Amino acid sequence: MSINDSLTWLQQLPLAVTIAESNWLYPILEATHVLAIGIVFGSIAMVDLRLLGLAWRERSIDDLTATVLPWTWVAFALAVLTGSLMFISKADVFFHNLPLRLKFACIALAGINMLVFHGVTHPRLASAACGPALPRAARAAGGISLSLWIGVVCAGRWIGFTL
Amino acid sequence: MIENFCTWLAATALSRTLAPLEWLVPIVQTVHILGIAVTLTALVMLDFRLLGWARRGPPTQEFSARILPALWVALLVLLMTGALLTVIEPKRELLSNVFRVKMLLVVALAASSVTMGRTLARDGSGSTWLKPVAAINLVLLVAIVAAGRFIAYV
Repeated sequence: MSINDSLTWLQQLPLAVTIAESNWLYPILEATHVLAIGIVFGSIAMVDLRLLGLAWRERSIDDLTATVLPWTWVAFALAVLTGSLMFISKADVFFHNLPLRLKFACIALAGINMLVFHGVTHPRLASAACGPALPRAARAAGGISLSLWIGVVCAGRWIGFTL
Repeated sequence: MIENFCTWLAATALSRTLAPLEWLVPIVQTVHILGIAVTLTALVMLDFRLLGWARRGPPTQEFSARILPALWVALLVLLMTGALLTVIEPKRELLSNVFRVKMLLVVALAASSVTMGRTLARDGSGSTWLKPVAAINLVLLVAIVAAGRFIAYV
C-alpha cells in the first residue's frame, strides 16, 4: 500500500469524515490541543529552567522532575490524541504540510535530547543535582529542550496559516 | 461606535506599518500561546493542589508564592501581544462577540484569582471556599482558551 493510499484510507475512516464534516468538532479538538500543548510546554519549561539554573534552584532535579513529569506525560498523551484526530480528518493535506513536518522533527529531536539526558547526562549528576549551577551538559539539555519546544509551538501556529 | 474606533485604530501609523507584515501576526500569536502555556500550567497546577488532586511537591502556599513572578510576566506578555494583535487587525477582535466573551471571562478570572490570592495569603490553604473557587478557575481557563481559538471560526 502506497503512502497516498494509506492517507486516503485514513481520511475515509468514518471518524475522520465525521470530524471533517462537523462545524464544531474540529475547533473543539484544536482548543483541547492548545490546552494540552500549553501544559506540555509549561511543565517542560519548568524542568528546563531548572536545568539552566534560572528557576527552582533550591529544588533537586529529581524532586522537580518527579513532581512535574506526570503532568507532561498526561498532557502529551492528550495532545497526541487530539492531534491524531485532527490529522486523519485531512490526512493528505497534513502529511504534505511543511510546518507540520518541522513540528514533528522538533518533537523527535526533543525526544532524543531527553533520552540523551536521561541515559547519559543525568546518571553522572548524582550529588551535583541539588546545586544551583549544574554541569554544562545538563544546562545544554535544558537550553536545547526549551528551544525545540518553542519551535514546536511556532511551527504548530504556522500550520494554520498554510492550510 | 466601536466600528468608528476600529476605523480610527486601523488608520494609525502603527497599524498601517504593521498590518502589511504577513509574518508578524503568526509570531505575535506564537508568543501569545507561550504566555498562555505559562499561565495555564501555573494556574492549573495551583488549582489542582487546592482541590486536593495533586499532592506531590512543595506546600500550596510555597508553590503559589514561587509561581507568582512568572505568572505576572506571563500575564504582561499576554496583554501586550493581545493588544498588538488588536492594533494590527482591529476588526477581527473588537467586532467579534467571541472576543468580547473572552474578555469578560478574563476579567472574571482576574477577579477570582485576586480573591484567591488574598485568601491564601491571609488564611492559608485550608479555607473551605478555596475549592469551589479553584474549580471555577479551571472552568474559566478552559473557556478562555476555547474562546480564543473560536475567534477564528465565528
